Amino acid sequence: MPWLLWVDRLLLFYYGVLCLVYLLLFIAALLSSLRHQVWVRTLPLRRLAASPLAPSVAVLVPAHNEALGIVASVQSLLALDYPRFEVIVINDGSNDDTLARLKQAFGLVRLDFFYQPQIPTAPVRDVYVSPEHHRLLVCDKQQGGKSDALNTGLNLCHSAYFCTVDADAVLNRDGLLRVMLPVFNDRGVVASGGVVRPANGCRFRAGQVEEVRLPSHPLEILQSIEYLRAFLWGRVGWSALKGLMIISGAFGVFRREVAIEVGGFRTDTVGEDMDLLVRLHRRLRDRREPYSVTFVPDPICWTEIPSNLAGLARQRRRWQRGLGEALWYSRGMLLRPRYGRLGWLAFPYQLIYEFYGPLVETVGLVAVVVSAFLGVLDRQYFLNLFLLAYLYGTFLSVAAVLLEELGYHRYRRTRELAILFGFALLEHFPYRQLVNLSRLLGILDFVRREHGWGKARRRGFEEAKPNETPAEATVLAPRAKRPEKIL
Amino acid sequence: MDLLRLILWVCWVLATGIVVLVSTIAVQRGLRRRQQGRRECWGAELKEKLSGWIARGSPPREWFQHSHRRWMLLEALAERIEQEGRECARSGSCEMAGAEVVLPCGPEGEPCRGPAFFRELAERWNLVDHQAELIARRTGLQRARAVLLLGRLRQPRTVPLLARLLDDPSADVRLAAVRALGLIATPGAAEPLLALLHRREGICISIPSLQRALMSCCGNHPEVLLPHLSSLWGKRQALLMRVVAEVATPDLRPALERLATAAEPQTRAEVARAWGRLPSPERVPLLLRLASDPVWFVRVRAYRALGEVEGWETVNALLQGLDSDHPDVRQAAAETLARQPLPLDELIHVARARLTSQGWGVLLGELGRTGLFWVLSQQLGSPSQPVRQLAEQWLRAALQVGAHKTVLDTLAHPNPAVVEGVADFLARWGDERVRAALEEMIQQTPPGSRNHRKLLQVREKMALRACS
Repeated sequence: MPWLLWVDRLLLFYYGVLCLVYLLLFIAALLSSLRHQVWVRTLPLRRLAASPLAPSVAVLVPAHNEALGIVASVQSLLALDYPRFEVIVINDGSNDDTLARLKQAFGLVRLDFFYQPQIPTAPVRDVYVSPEHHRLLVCDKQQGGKSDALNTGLNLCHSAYFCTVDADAVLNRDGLLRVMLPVFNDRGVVASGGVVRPANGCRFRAGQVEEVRLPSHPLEILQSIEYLRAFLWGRVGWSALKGLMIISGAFGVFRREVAIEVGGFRTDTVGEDMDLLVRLHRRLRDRREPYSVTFVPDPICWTEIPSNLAGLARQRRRWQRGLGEALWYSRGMLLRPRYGRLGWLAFPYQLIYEFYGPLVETVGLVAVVVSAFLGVLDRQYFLNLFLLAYLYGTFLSVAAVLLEELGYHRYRRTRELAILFGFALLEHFPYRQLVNLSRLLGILDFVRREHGWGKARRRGFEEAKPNETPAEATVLAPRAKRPEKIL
Repeated sequence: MDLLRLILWVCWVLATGIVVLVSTIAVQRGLRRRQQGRRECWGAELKEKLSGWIARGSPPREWFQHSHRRWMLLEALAERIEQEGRECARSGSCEMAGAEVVLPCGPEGEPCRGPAFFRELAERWNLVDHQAELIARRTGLQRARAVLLLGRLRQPRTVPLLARLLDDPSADVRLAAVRALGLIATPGAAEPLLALLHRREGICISIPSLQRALMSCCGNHPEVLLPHLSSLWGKRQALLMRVVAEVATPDLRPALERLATAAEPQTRAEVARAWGRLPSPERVPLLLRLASDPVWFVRVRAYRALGEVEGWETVNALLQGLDSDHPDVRQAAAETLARQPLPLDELIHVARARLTSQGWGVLLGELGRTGLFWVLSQQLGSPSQPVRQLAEQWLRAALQVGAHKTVLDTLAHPNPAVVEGVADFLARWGDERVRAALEEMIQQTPPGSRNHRKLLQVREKMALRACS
């Protein structure tokens, strides 16, 4: 069976290169993370938090049917430690009482605002301001999708930078300041991203994380490991290698002027965050302008992750489609020397390993089954390879936990670390195969040009204890919802 | 077989790697806990005994020998220098005191000795020289941290050392040196920073940090910057101008007048900003001139600066700005105009004669943001006729530029008398657009609700008015 042998060799080569890339990323992430820790200690954070020279930031919060958590989320955003920012909530044609809750909670009054869009969007119905919170602006518009809502926010803001935050996310109080630290030192930074972590299991108080805890549901723990790997190791590594192609839309800062120049967020994709960053790279590289894109590993955005298989499958399917769309729209960058490491390293990696990865993995599994069926499977060879893949996967997960421990030390209990290690051993079967299947369906969706976000079930953040005042209300992380894109 | 052996070997390496990683995590946890414990212990000792050491002699020898403890001691002193500097700045001058004096501004009611005392103490305990030695020994970010701590001690004699570090090969150390010079905050510390601007080669230091450091060094002596302003050009001049705009004093007026015609638009914009901060009657003509600058962001800065000038002399220029072709200029002019404490009837009179529909739109938008319409709707029922007329004038102007939604919104006012007033007003002045918007609102409001009844009442009144 010479063809089977070829498939076998090809897969081995594919896997070997992947292992090397991962190793490279890990080393880069480890060095970068350690360096960042020392760098941050040299910064006068308290003084920067009151600096009049801080670049202005508009926090854009697109909200569609987010009635359950929107008030807590906006409250946490209004309490951010940053000298110059405004919060713009864009109600994207919600069918529930998102707007009504905002009106009630913040005493909104309608503003006679002349909306002059620089990027075309769905019509804006009304703009509201809060007499009590001068930093808050709420825009009510017809439904046009998340990208359209973000574009509306871009049109409404006047700041130098804008930060996209999901309506179901909670930022650490100093999150915005920390994600803006690279901008303080270098105004050439066009985008800066922060870490997104699962909120499930954590305890919140007055819109802030009070205690970080590991979720209790196995599916959520497995995703927590994935998040650690993806953010502390994948993104930090790619950022150190200057090949970062994704900044999570759940928590990312972009320079407004350049974002408007490239036409804002694309409305015909679900991977609008990656797409925008890739277009920014492309535009600035085309113009040969010096710029930088950074990823800061310590500002944290807490977001809900799915706690059931259906939600997880839907999410991963959408991410895969978004990845495909972003890569397709920027296909001109592939292997072009003008785009440097992005063109010859990051883009091919995203295409071959992230986009086609599930397909190759499935081919590998099929090849094993066919070989076994035809009786040509070398058992010892197969077992050795299986062991190698298992150990390498575990090594990567444990390495991610190490990065967390060295740099941030959020999970303080030894028991939680032990659980993380335990699940790092278990995640390879059947969790990985299930995720793989969803991603495969995502590729199919991309090929079929399907659109839409699908529906996400929400339970919301707030579960205030009856005897607590609203300001002290303990906000518990929910059991189900939409998290963020990985790698 | 070779490949199999290789795979097995890699597996063995990986398994070892996993064990090493897990052990590292365990060891790291243990070390962290131990270090944290020691730090807490030392911190408590420092907190308890520092005042005693300051008052009577010096800390025990181990506090100087052990690098970690010495660092903690230095940090504590630096903190006291910062804290007392702040207190002195707030309460008056105790900078010259140098010894125990006056106010109980130290921690926990301790007497305020002034930052100079602690600077001298750091010298007496030989900590400054120790720190300088440490800087020479360390590399990379550790060196940068040491430089920064030296800066926090605010010793003017360390300026030459820090100036040399501005040429360090490490970017982090260069940045730390800039920030350390900024912390020393004397005109002498500004000199090496200003010398950087005169270098022929590019400045390889973070510009915002340089700007901040210069602001802090020249805050009390902006005249230091003047000779450099005239000898620099282009972006470097603009950078220095940004500093001047923050720290400008009336002594700088002649230089600012000269720079208002600089070739670099960024410089002109900063001149506008600086003039806005100076309480001088001469600034108005100059700002008015800058308000008609061909570059839009100079105009924006000029309009914002005009906001600091109260009175009628700026209104014409601001109204002109409302019809500008650039949205940011329009916005800046509207914001400034809305903040002006002018009699509204006169303003409306002037504005109606001058403004186009677009200008009106921007102005009303901004005024709406200040809650004006809510107030105006209340004034419709005022016993004073001129006030009623003024409110009507404004609301009519709003209707004319298509802001009828905002006017209709005032029907949500909780006071029935106000609602009555708005209903009468709409019946009198409402046009087709108002009727259409009203119909739309009636459709959207649940029948039988209070708001629905209010809207029906307005419709009825409008119909009656139309018949009569």
